Amino acid sequence: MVVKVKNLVKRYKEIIALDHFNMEVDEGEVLGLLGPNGCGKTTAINCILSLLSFDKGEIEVFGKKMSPDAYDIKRQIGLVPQEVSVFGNLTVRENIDYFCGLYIYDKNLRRRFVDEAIEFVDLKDYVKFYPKKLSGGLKRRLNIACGIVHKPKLIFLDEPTVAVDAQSRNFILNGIKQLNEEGSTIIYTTHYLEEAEMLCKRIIIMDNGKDLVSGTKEELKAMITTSEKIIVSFSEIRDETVSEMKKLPHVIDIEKDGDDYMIKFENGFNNLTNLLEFIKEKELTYTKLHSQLPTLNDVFLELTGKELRD
Amino acid sequence: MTVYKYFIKMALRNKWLILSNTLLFFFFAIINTSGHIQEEMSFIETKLNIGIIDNSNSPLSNSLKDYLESKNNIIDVSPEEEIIREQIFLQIVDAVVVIPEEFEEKVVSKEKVIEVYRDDRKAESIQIEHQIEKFLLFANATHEEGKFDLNAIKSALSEKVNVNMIRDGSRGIDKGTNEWFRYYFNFTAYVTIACYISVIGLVMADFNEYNIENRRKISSKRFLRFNKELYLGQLSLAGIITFIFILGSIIIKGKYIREINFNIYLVNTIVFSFSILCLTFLINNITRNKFVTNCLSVVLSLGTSFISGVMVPQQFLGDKVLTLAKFFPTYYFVRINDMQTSSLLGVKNDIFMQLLFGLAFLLVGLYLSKTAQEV
Amino acid sequence: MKTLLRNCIYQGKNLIREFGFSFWCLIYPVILATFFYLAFNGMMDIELEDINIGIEKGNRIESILEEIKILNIHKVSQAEVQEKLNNGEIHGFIDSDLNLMVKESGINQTIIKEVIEQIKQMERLNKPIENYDFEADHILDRNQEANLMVIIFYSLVAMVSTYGIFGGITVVSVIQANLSHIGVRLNVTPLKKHEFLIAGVIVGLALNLFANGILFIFIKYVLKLELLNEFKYSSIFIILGNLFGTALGMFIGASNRKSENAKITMAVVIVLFFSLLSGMMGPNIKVVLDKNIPILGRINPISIISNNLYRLNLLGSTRTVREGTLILSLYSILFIFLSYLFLRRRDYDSI
Repeated sequence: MVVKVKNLVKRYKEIIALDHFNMEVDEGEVLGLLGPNGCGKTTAINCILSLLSFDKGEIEVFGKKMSPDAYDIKRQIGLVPQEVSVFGNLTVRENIDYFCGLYIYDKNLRRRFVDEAIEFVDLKDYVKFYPKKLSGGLKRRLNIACGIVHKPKLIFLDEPTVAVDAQSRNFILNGIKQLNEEGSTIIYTTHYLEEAEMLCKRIIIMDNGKDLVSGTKEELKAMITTSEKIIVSFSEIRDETVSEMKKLPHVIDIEKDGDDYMIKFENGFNNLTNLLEFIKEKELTYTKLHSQLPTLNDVFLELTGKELRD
Repeated sequence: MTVYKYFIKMALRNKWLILSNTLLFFFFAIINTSGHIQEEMSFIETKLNIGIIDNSNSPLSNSLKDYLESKNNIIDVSPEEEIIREQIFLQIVDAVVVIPEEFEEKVVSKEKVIEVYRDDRKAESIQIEHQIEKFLLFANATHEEGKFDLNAIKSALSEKVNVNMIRDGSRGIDKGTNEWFRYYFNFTAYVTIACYISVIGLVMADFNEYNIENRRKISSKRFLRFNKELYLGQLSLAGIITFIFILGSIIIKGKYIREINFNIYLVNTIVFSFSILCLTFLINNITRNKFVTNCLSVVLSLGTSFISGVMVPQQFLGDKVLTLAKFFPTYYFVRINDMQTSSLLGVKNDIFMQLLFGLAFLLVGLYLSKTAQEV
Repeated sequence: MKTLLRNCIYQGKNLIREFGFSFWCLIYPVILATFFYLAFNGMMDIELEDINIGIEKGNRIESILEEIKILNIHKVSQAEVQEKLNNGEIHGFIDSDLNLMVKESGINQTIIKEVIEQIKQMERLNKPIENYDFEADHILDRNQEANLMVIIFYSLVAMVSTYGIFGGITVVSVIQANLSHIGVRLNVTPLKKHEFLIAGVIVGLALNLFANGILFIFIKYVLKLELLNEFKYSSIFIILGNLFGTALGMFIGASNRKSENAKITMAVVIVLFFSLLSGMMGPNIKVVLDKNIPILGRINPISIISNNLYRLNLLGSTRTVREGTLILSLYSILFIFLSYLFLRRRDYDSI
């Protein structure tokens, strides 16, 4: 176990930022911390890193209690903070070299690591630039390079893709995958569903400072009652027919949106076959039909009653 | 009037800048001028604080002591040189006179006998040397058959001159009060430049910011109208700032306003404010960088104040410095205040010069803004 | 040690490339010195202008007055006196009884009065003119070549030496996770906080000392003013001024949670206020304070530095060196200690 958080409570005066938050991270995995803005993701990370004091709970990193002067633990951690956190008056290379030097004392090794980091975020052409001359996406890349240059075993990435163009974003996501393949454990916070789904082996869904559920994507989706949605457009259908359709096996609910009907099924087999037989039997005509597996958004929706959108 | 409203709103967000400048200004104005008033009302010879160390104790030295005592305040001092210097440094005494042994012989042989330590920072301290020289000049003149005629010297030195001070025409201008107003309004030159450039400059930097400028360009607001409201905003802001300074003088010394040529100060200040507003306009068209604006505010306000006679009166400034100062309106502003004349006609040239500078700043600024607009 | 050195290098680079820092520490003092010089230089060599005296035709001292070089004699009729005095054509009018009539008091009028007085007194003394030896000089002037300008420059140097305050504020703001993004990052690295702080202090001190050096070179070789006759103790005071400034900056940086800009404004105001009290903008304030609250001059850090520079270099006195160094050192230690306490207690609750 790389990180273990038990019953963490953090209050800001009246507001409870973290409410008995739990989290466990295994070595070598990519853990996604998913939740809407302001749900306590960054607070959780700051507590784990001993940047913030907390009111209650236990935090262990690499099996040891984390504290502000646990330098041996810090040595193995890399942080990519949400804000671009670099020295404005140092160039790209100087910034990366400075932060690398806080971990790596050997000069030759450091030079190699810095070169690799620059290569990794593809900032070769910008090494002599000052951060303010870089575009938003490039700044983010520099921000990442500064956090991972020392090849840490455990990397925290706090919404590294906020306000980044699509190209840079894919670049960053692929980079994170690569870091994981090279052996780093990664904790990744985001409020983008697609990112979490694409990147993370395991996901913790957070809301209002609580960890609602955790598990693999499949586990999470299996948790919710709806397991399949079929959307059909009927050109003409009577209300009685819809009511009859509701009585089909495994159907939970039918939602109408214009001509579209979304039929939700719980776990079961032959849902589509049953529906098609029903349509044939009633001689209904439909213009389109498609089946959907549940997304994380459905999971979030069912758990919290609200949509996870920015 | 949205633009106008937001201009004022943003300006008031910088209220601490205005307030700290103003407070510092009034602090200066009160502290620095409290000493001057009433000083030169009548013709008085300044009495210095001096210390006398008499190692001779002869009739001549005693007589000299008596004479100096009649002209100055005597303070006890220690004979140690280090302490003498320290006391002068702390301005406890203005001068210390050391009379040596065998004083009389040395006077007769016209040696440099008396040691005088005095405060170089105080110009009047030179008069102690004049007093001693005169006394010894007379002493030597009376020296006959080995004796000084001390009584004759004493009675001669008691001879005084009657001085009649004539009053100036109808209005008996109180010099001290006038000095105060002169100093006060000269000093407003400094704060006006500092405040205008920094406050208006900072707000304009926000408005001129590249992205906002582009947003404005694509908005339906007409360029002319947009600018009109901005200029109105600048004018209001400048008006408020200048009003505060003028009001300050009325609050502090309001009851003397009738005794001085307040109208001249008023007109002069308004004209000067106008020319500095034009300068601010020019600067805003040169740079959009807040930092540069800040630096310019500090450098221009301090710099022109020093060379134009705000900090040190113009009469003490070197010719080269004054020539340099003529290239800036502050010089003419200060000159009018220093003239202390009662007729507007008498200062029309200097008023005209300030207006001319204002106009020049305005035209260059307009030219720059036009070229910037075309890009 | 190696970490310290690396931190020094990088913090140095970061600070020196900050235009604001370079301006306020390097350029601004030089500009200020130039203005002081321009303004006060003229005051040093005021040449006495000719003095215009009005007399009536046939005044008995006319011939004596004509002997005196700086006087211009104008024949004025009684009727014109008022007018000529008013328009400044003559500084004073002497009537036949040797009474003086003036419009205002000033140096010129005082000189006229002295001259007439001496003439009257010599008449009273009634000795032949050969008895007077006008060339004799009885006074041994024991003044240094001190001038007003040098004193103002000591105040300027004292003020500028405390500009380490900016470096102090910056380094403390950077390391605090609740004030800077870099602070967050630095706090998760194995870098020890005190190493970063010590490096920051070293860099701040070194750069400001360098800036002080530039100012001295400028004053000595461009303005051609000799400020430092005594080197050893003077440099100790300038270094202590730097240390004090940096320590105060760290204290300002650590003790509150205002923005860095607000802190810098605070610093400028505090330093300016102390300088004001020490007489930088005019000696009046200092004299009044020295008379009424003498202790203030002994505890005001800027006064300590400027007074000691004056005493050391112009009076050749080391009388207050011990007290001054002691007080400045105590201030510095106190502020560093307080900053340390503040920084330790922080848990960055307001990220």
